[in-house]
Amino acid sequence: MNIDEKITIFINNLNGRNIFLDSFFQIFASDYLIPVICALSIFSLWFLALDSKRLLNNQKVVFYSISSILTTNILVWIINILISRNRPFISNPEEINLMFYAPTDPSFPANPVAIAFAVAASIILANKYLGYSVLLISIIFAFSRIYVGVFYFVDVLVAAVLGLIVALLVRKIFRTKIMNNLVMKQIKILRLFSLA
Amino acid sequence: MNYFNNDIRELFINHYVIYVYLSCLGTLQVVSAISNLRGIMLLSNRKINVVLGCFFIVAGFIFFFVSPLFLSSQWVGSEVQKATLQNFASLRNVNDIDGGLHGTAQFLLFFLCCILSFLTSITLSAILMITDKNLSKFEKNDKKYKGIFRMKRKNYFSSLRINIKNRNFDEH
Repeated sequence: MNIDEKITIFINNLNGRNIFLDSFFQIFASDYLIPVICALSIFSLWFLALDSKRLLNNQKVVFYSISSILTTNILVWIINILISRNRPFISNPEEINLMFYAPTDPSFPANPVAIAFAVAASIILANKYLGYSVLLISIIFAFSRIYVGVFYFVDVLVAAVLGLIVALLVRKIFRTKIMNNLVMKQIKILRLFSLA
Repeated sequence: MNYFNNDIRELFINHYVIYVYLSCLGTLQVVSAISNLRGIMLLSNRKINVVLGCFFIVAGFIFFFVSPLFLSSQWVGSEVQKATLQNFASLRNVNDIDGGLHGTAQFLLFFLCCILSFLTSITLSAILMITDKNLSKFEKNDKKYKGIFRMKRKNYFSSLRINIKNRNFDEH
């Protein structure tokens, strides 16, 4: 048994001891909580208009975030094709206690975790308070996914790093003149409709 | 996929749309109150608007995660009487192949709800601003705001009309 499996089993074996903790992590691990919070954070940035400079920055970050999500999804999809790793409850059925539905897609890397970290890293660039809050819930989300037994520790770790790197790369690409002009053109069109 | 899964998915979509719509509406109200965008706010008082927004967000989350317990559906059936905290926590953990929602469907529904919540906000806010005499006066004497900032003083439709008339979309 390698160290990744040991850490995963250690975290997973924390479940079943406290009903409140189990319930908390089951809700946190849900596909419908953290992804929605991430999306709401991006949505809120668009209208967070304290002054024109910050508004423009926030709205550019909305473009970065959406692009980061798309890029992360594509990268995870490619990695899933190249590396088909079984879920921990399949590889270690004796040691892992599954508290979630049994996903059928490959385990490596953790797609929802990668997206949550990509969103958090993108938002930090515009609003530190909101960004770090999203980062914190992304870390709990990542932990909860191991806790309920659907991901290995390394799946989540690599996904987090992937999400952060993608967000930084996307930001760098969007800072080039061509991409910046493209985003500005879209913002100007939306401004005509009082949406920016 | 069988008919049973389709039934679950249909119910799931209904619940998800209500949940996301309420959350988007709540977020929009909180953010518009912070940014003082009166053309989006449902109430003229900013503090009460923030409270209303938080209420919508919490209501959405509670509705989505608790509602299956109150439904005599295929999910719980007569077992609803025996529901525990564990049931409550795990009821929404449904795989997309078993009646849950795929990521793309989630994204599309979320986007739709964003638009719907925005339309609701600007329409109700416009009605409020037109009917409220104080706000109507407020609307007439302001020319320094442009773009989305026009909604600090005007309703969305007035702002849109002026923006299109002036075609001024370069600077705020």
